[in-house]
Amino acid sequence: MDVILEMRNITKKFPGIVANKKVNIKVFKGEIHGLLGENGAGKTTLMNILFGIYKQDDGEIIYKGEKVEFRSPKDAIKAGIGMVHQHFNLVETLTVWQNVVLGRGEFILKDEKKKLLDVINKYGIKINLDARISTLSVGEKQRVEILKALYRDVELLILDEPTAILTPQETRTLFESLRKMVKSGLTVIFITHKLKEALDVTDRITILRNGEVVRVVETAKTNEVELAKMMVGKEVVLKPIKRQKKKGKKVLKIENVTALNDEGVEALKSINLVVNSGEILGLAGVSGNGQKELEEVIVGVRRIEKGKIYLDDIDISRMSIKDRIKSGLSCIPEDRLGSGVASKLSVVENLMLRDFENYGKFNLDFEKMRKKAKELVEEFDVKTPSLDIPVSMLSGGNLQRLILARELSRNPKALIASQPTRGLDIAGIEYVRKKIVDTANSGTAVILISEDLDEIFHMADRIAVIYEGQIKGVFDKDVVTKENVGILMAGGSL
Amino acid sequence: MIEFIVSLLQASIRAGTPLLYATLGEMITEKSGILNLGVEGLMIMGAMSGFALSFITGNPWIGILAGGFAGLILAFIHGFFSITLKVDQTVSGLMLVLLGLGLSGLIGKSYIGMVANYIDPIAIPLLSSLPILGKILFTQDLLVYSSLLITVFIWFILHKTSFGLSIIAAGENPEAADTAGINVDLVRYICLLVGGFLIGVGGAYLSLAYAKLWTEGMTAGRGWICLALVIFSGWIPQRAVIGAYLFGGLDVLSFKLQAIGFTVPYQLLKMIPYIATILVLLLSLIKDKYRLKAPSALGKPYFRGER
Amino acid sequence: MRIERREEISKIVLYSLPFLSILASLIFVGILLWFVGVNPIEAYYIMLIRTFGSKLGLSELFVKSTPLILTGLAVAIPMRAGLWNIGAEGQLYMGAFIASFVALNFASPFAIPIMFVLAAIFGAAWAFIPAILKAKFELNEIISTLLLNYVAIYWVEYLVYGPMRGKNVYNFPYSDLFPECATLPRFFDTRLHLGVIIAFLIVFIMYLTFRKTSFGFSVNVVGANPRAAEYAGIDRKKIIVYTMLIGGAIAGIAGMEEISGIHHRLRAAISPGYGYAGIPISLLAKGNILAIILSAMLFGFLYVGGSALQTTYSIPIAVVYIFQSLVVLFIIGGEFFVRYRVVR
Repeated sequence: MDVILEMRNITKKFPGIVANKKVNIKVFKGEIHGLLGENGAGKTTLMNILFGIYKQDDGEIIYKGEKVEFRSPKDAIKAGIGMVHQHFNLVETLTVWQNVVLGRGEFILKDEKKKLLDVINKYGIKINLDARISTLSVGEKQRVEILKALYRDVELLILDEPTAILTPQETRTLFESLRKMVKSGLTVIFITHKLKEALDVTDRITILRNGEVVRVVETAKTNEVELAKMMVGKEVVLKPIKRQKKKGKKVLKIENVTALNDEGVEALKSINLVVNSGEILGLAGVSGNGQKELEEVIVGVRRIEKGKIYLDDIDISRMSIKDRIKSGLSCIPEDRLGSGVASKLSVVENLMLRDFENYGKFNLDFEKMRKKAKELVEEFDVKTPSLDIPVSMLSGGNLQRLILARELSRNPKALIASQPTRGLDIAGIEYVRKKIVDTANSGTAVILISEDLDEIFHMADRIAVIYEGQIKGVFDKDVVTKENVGILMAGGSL
Repeated sequence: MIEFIVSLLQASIRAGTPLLYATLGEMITEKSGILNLGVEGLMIMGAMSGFALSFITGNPWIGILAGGFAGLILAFIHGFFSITLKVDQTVSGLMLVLLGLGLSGLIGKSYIGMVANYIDPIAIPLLSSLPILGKILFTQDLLVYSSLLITVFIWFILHKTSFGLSIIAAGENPEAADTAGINVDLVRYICLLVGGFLIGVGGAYLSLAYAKLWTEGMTAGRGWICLALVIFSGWIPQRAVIGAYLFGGLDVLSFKLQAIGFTVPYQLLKMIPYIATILVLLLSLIKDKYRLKAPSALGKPYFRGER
Repeated sequence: MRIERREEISKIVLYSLPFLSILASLIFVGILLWFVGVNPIEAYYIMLIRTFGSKLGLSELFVKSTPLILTGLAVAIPMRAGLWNIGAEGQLYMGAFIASFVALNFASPFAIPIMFVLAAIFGAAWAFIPAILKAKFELNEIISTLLLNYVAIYWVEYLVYGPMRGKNVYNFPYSDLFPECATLPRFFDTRLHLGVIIAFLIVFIMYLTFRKTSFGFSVNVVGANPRAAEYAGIDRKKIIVYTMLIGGAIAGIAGMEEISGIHHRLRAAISPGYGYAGIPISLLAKGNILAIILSAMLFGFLYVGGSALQTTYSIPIAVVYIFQSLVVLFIIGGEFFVRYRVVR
């Protein structure tokens, strides 16, 4: 088989870490090549180098038999390489076709729709060319990204964790399109950390760990256990979670809550949820279906249009945020850097973000605050060189530990944990899950918002599914299957 | 009474034209994602340079060009800081205001009280003899007419050309533009410099066609009003025309009222445009609370690969 | 060409940056002076000698620095919460207006303290308008604070041309002179007045407030990340309003001190851009409250030296603006090259 791409001895350093260490990778024409590794293994960095977003410190790239150096994505696109990022690069105010022709086309815009329709029909991509991006679902947006690449006549298409935001059903559709593409001569690089998907869709797999290539395998000749071992470096079995099942009293009650999103459109439509003490309620759903707004409405940073929220039978829906915190509400926000910490401030200051007023009004006791911070850092094993460095210097995992330390040490009555393990490595994920479960075991009512169905099935006692701002059903974990939850997440009914 | 209204409207357009140039200039700058708070500084430099060059060469059109280039040079400084170095756009914009006021004060000192050649109105044959409308619309100078053409031209660029799409993409989502192969920095530089030129022309219009003299600090906050007008017009060029003429009207109202023997003190009338600007801003915010049309990446520096 | 963050930041370069920037600006302004036909070395010599060469010059340094310290604070305090108060100029005029009103109509031994309090209240009230509009409607405070400057300035102009014009001022746009009980005491036969000491006192109080109190802590959080502050239960809107009120009050006091300590009457052009100078002063001090004294003294020197240039070469005081903007631009540019490097 022809080699379309070879990357040799690629090394890339960032301040403090080596993202890629002498990485070698070979991709054959017409295959789906998997790039498998944990978060932070260096998969995306490697592909960003290929795509001209970063420049490697060392090593060379051979593409179609020639040594190449892409200074920007523009060069890569010209050479026939397309990349669909984890975050979409779409202009929300423009339409689908405008986004596709962006950066191309004659000076005076012509109707390019005919060429687009050909592409659409060839690969069976379902999309309305005249729709504004802001009105599309995540799955549709991904299709626009793929369409963009195909319109540019790519020969090599890179997909960075494309399934992270898709429902099981949408994932299947995507895989079908990918197979059609390689059949007509395209080559696909598929970045993922999900073993099953790598096995499902790829022809060969390169496994990365800590920035280095572990091995290259043919998909047909490997299995899940072997891949997991190579990916993590040791045998991992997710530790089963110990839950103490007690039927507690109703702690958090959400009644007919309606709220608007930033655009003024109803994002929550008459939501009803009850969480008992000592219970974890998992909220499953594809992102953008109202999860963010629900978190904000409970915390109090978003206004409630209609409905009430009760914490221990006290109506908190009109309370100030401060009073809600005082009545025992804690939150691990989805946007860690944006809402969880003030990244310019120090570790101590961030740990004291909620409780500093307890250390004096006109004469803050900094000594006492430091002492408490030191205890918390030790208890939650936050790895930091000093208490006084800005938290922007901490890694994602340590940042999350810091937030856990602050939120869980207050023995909250109710906890909202939103995407608590996103972007963490396996050790970090296990730690966060354990701490949340411990908190529930000690009697806290927990709402776990997660896009990761496995996580929800792993941790929750009951599962609620949110779709377009409505709760499509609440089930005991033991009586519902992942498949059924997936159908509800996609807007179907059982 | 009709005569008063006709002369008020005619003067409103004249007074609104410098605002229109500067508002359009700031609008295309902002469309590409760059916030140039230095409008006031660019305008005053345009006014001073325009006057000086007209005085030296005797040709007011050279003055207008000079005003444009003065604005362009200051815009370039802003570009160096905000696009090349990617530092805080607020700071460098604010400093341009001080720089423009200082430089124009220092260099323009010798031109205070001088007389230069000015831009004269041209009555368009036939059209100008129309009743009422003829006097209001068709007895203006060339720069008034060209400002309307430029408005149409900007609309055309933004909505009918691929470069327009690139501008919108750079202002809404520079990363998307970048990965689509658009040179974001270049697009932003072009918009900033063209915008700076227009703002400078607006300033030159002020000294060479509207006030017909140069005094220190003569822009008197018009640059800031234009920043507000960009918001008021919702980043839509045709609406800038309405906004600019409206505020031009408020500007001349005090003179016109005094001329017909109205006795409200001059200084109190002079406050009106500033208060009106705040009120108008407030109204557009309340009305469009959920449809903020500002480019999403406005004022945010774009670093490739730093998310 | 790419831009990368440096792994190691040279502390020495970082700390010497303000001084290098001042030097670079001096050179730049020197070139400009030479351009308009003034020998820059001679000009700088005159600036130095007129400031540091006599008791009068030195006292003037403190006199000019006083309003600058206050307007620097008026900008710096809201800036700590992430807000731009470009309206110190107008707040200063409102303080001056109400102080004059008290001085001219209610002469009494208590006039001075009443003038201080009311000037602070009026300055704060003038800042309250943009603050509440920001808190309630997210109205851009840069534009609103700035526009209100013009309103305040025209208001004072209206007063001195109209209702408050004095009886014995030969048609000048002045109010009458204040009675003695409404003027700040002066020292050493110079224009040094009590307000100088009060300005330093205010700096100290603000320093303690932001170093020691839980209010100061919450302002820092809001400034660092308003959304995280909200999540932590800190009322961002309250902080917006409070910091702007404090800033406005201090600017109002600056206005009172200028007329009660220097002019002894209300007149049109009280301030040669002191309010605007507060912006570079605060930026130069990097939000450090004590450092505001230093950067205000630097700018005070520029104003004293600038007026020496004005009398000697009739160079407009606007040249000070050039210097102010250049210093800040050099600093932000220099800081960039300290923190990043350009890689080809």
